Amino acid sequence: MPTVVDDGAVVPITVTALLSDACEIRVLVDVNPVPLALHASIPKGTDAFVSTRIRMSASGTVYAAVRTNAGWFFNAQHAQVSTGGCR
Amino acid sequence: MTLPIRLRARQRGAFTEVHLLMPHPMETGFRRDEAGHLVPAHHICEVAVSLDGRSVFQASLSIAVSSNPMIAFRVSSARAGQRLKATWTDTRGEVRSGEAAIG
Repeated sequence: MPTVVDDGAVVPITVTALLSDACEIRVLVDVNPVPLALHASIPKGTDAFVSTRIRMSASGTVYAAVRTNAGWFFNAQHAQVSTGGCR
Repeated sequence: MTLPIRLRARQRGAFTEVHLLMPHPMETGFRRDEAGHLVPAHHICEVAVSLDGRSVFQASLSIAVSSNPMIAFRVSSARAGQRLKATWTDTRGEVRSGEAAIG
């Protein structure tokens, strides 16, 4: 995902994990009124990969969490948003 | 009335990349119209994709997903010619689907 965003209404994000037993991916935005943006179930035979476009209400951090049998793994990326997407 | 889901699937070596494009306003409930009234929330909440009847992807979407959502995912166990079927349900209970073959 980009670190500087002009329009918070359309923020492209991609989550990829090289974990073989991933079963669930969640995308959260800490500044949004509804933090959980997307919750995907990954059955066997589908890769731990999701790409989409989300809204960000202001500058903040996007968290991607992947669930495996061993627990949750996550990563975060901060983005500077010029115009918020709550419109 | 919204348009059906547009699906595209292409084989890329070890995996097949599936792109879904779902025309939908995805109203957040925070937006105001010209008269200053809040527009009620109206968004896709569930998306399910099956490959020859077997579920390969399922997602819950909130208002934080952009309007006309695009979602891409990768399937490693697909062959050319198999049929993909995608369906979404929104907060008003409307349902829309789309179908495509892997090319």
